[in-house]
Amino acid sequence: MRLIGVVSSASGLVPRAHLYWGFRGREEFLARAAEFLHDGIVEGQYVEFVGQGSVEELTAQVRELPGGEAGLRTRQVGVCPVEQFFVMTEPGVVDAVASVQSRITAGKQAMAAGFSASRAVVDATSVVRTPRAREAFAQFEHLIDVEMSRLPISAMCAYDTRLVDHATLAHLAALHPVCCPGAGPLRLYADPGTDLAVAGEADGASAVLVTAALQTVLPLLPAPSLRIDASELQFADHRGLMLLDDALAGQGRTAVLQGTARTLSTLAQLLPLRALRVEGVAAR
Amino acid sequence: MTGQPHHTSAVHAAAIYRTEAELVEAAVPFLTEGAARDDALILAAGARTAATLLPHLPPTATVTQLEGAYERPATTIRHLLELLRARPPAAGRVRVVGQVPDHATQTGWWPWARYEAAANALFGEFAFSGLCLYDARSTPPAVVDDVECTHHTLVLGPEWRPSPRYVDPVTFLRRPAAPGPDSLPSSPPAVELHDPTPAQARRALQQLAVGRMLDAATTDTVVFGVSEAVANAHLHGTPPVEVRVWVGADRLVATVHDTGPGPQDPYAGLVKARGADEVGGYGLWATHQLCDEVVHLRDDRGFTLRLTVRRR
Repeated sequence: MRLIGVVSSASGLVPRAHLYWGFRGREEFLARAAEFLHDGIVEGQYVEFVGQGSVEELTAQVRELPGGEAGLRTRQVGVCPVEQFFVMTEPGVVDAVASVQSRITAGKQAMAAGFSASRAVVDATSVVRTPRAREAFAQFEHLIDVEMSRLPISAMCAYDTRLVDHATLAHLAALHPVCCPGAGPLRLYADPGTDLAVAGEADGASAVLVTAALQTVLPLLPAPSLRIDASELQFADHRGLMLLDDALAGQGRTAVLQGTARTLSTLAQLLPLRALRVEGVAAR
Repeated sequence: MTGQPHHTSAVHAAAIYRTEAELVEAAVPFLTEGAARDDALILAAGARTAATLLPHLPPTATVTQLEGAYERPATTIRHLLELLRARPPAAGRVRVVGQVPDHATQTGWWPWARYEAAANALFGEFAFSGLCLYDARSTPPAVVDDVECTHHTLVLGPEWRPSPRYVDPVTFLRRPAAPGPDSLPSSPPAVELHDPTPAQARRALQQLAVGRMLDAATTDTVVFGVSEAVANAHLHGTPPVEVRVWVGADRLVATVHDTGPGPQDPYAGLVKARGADEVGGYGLWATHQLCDEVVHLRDDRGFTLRLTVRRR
């Protein structure tokens, strides 16, 4: 069972989670990082602190966090500059597939070293600064989310909201099962029982986001016909359903939304949907 | 004119009967002739009317009974249009004897008046014959007035005559509406929102549902209807948008008001919007399909959509 939802702190997301956090300033970032790292230390996980700056600078930051000094000493906590943490195709642009493989390998190494799991706090602001970098990293976010749904790997993906535009932030947030408040209305994430899961709300106001998130995710999903767990989809209006349908049809895919409210399946039957079918349940 | 006219175009007639004998005299020949012509025969009326009519039909007549077909006007129109469109051109007519439920003529007539007017235009291109039954003993005089204005033919016993008061559908639908008042909105609303976004309106309704322990089906329906109405008000209306919701023992009533003139299409909500496309334009129509009653109110302050959802 994955952790899903909107949270007001980075505490308590154990044993593992894939968290989006948009921060406004270093103080907020470090406060959330401390929460996420602390839980990892208590759980016996290997914890990595990833950000801009040299190893020395990052180490100095971790020393200021509760448990950081001790963690560094026992090597339960490590630091890594962001450009070394990911495999890069060019400065600022990650290689999504290679980076995911790298994280899987690192996770296995942590387990082999006796840790219960691995988790990372990543200030990813510097790898989403251009449209190409953003799309590459968005692909990484979904691919690593798939791995996080089945492997003991966790991450808090943090972005400086003063340096990244709102649409990009909403797009990236939409690729996480757990988000900070105000991150965006809709989330698409991996679900071990189906091909994909959707949570939140899909309406006319979230049209751009729905389209962008699906454009990232759909090419990464192998099945031509998808089963999408929608039990956490709180609301969709007619426009939201039609946008989902349009995005699926545009990429030659079909999908079944499973576990929605009965009202939504009734609504779907009224609409000229080409690629989307909705299976409602009596009560949820 | 006496006796049934033989039409190639649509027929939309009303029988306002005062006795069971008049009911039989009006409806039985209509169905019997349809049986002889191999028409599809549909009886969309309550059990009492069915029990009165069916024993008088020839044994060879095959009648499909649709009790509950008149649940909501827009739903009835959708089902009938689907039926008519699916009928092969070479097949006989679709012949419907229908009866709006008593409770609708007593307290929720206005949406059905729109239905009756719109039926003339919406079914006009099909091989459709409709005979609408109204019991004069229980139908309010104002409803009888509307029935006479919305059916081009009136049937009294065996006699079929043109309605002298018939009004073309667009003219009727553009008349200032006089929907029956709902008693709930005279009390203070449980929710009152000034210019909310659709998401804010949904949030307020979901909180209301938790506080009042409303069931999921009722909540989902009213949340959908209000959200679509607020989205439409922002998209097509004039701000500010005001939302009010009342919770009764048996129903929820919500109003969504803006200061614009409201939809200009006289058939708005009864059929899909003209220009509905692959990404939108179905909101008001879908609301009419899902909510138990949807009323369009206009006054000098603007347009109000009033939604009623019965508690499940």
